[in-house]
Amino acid sequence: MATINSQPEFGFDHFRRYRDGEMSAQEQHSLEKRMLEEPLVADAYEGFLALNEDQIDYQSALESLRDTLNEQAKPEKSRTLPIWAYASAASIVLGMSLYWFVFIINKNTSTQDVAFEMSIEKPEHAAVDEEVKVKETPLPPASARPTPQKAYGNSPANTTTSEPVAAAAPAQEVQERLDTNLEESIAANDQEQISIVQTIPASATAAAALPSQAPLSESARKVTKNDAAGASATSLSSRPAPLNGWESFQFYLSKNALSAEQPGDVEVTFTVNADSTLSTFSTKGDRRFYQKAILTIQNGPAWIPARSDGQPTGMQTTVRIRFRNSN
Amino acid sequence: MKFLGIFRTRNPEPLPEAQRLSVYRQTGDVGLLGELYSSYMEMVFGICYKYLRDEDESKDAVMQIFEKLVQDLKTHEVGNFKSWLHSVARNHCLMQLRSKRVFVGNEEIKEEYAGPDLQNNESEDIFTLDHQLNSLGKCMQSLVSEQRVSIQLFYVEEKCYKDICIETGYDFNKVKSYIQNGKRNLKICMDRNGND
Repeated sequence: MATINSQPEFGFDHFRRYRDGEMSAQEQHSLEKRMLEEPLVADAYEGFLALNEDQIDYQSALESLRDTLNEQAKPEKSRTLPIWAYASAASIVLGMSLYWFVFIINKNTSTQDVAFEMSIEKPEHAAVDEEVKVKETPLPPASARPTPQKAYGNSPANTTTSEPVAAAAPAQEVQERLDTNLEESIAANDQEQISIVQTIPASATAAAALPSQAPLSESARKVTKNDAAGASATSLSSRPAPLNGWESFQFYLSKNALSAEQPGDVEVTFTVNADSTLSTFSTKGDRRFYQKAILTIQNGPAWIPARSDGQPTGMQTTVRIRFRNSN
Repeated sequence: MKFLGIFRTRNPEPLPEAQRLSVYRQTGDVGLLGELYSSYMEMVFGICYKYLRDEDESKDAVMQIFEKLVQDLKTHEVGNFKSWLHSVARNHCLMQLRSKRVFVGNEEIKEEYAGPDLQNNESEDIFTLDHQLNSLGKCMQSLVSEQRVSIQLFYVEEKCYKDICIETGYDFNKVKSYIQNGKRNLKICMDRNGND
């Protein structure tokens, strides 16, 4: 009868048992009937007998066929990856992006919150006084230098200065400019007190920690110098850094980012060009302080340009300034 | 989320062939077809060996037939997969033989599965069935006695060839051919009666 499709398929094992007379009469009948009804089974049985006649090891032949078939029928299955594969892929991606955020992004703008007390005296003094024009004269250690000006608390850079400088003409120019600017900004901001939040490139900080006595390049020489803290020009690649190092810069900000009103944060992004000039300012944050923030940076200490392969190069940096009400 | 696999329902074994084929037609999932084919692989290998009489050629043929299935079943709707598969497998082997040795009778390559057989007809229609049962009795009488006895024992009493041999004293191969020929004659007789 029409038992087709509802029975388990016959295999060579059934055939063998049938041939060897191991089947019950009922089983034999059922197989015989199938062979009569289904030429497929009948033909296969004939093939089975032929295989035996020729003494072919059909088991291993079938085994290899099954492998080949699995191989061929695989593509669709391989699409269904186990859940752990997705999970591990996701965690790798997460890990990578975390790494990127923490180490790569922060190279550009890692933030470091610092607030300093500081006198309103110009931190630039140190900078300019030390102007590198010293024609490759190695700088004496900071401690060895005379410190005729006021000591600035925290910053070792500020303890230096007034060292006799040969060929200091450009340096004086810079100092004059800085002094004027500073006075202006101080005048403008008398009443207020600030704290600053400063973004510091990690690499720049590291570089600043390295004492350096290497000669500066021409362009850098005009405005920058090796300060005692050693904002360095030696490492082959570095980020822009303020002259005298970050600490003294923050110190400067803390004294100059002042507000008579409600406190507020401003992020100033600007480019420190290869010749140490500053350009393309952009601001983010509290609108009221946009102008003031840019002025504060412009009037602040000079900047050491970033270095790429030892060559000074223009690079963007971001400084976050917190204007805080002194009242 | 199907691609995740976890939400994918495993193909339950009892899923009828026709349904699996229709799913394959829709999805083109070779894995699904592979599963289906694997249960027939021994049969196909046997058929191929029957015709080709060479192990490696038969193995190649089994895989070539699968490839043909992968293509053909995407577009063809196959009613009786087993018959169709048999026909495909046999034709493939015969074509191969023919390409090697130029002589193989054309009549060998015919599509036997095209014609519905006795069993399939029986389930069609109760009235037809009734009519057929009437003619069956008549046709049975028209068979030669060896065929009639063998058919009776095999189909009605459901005895196996061996038992029929013992019971009747016929030779094993004779029993087999009595049944085969008797079945064919019955069919011819039934068809003739059906047309009357």
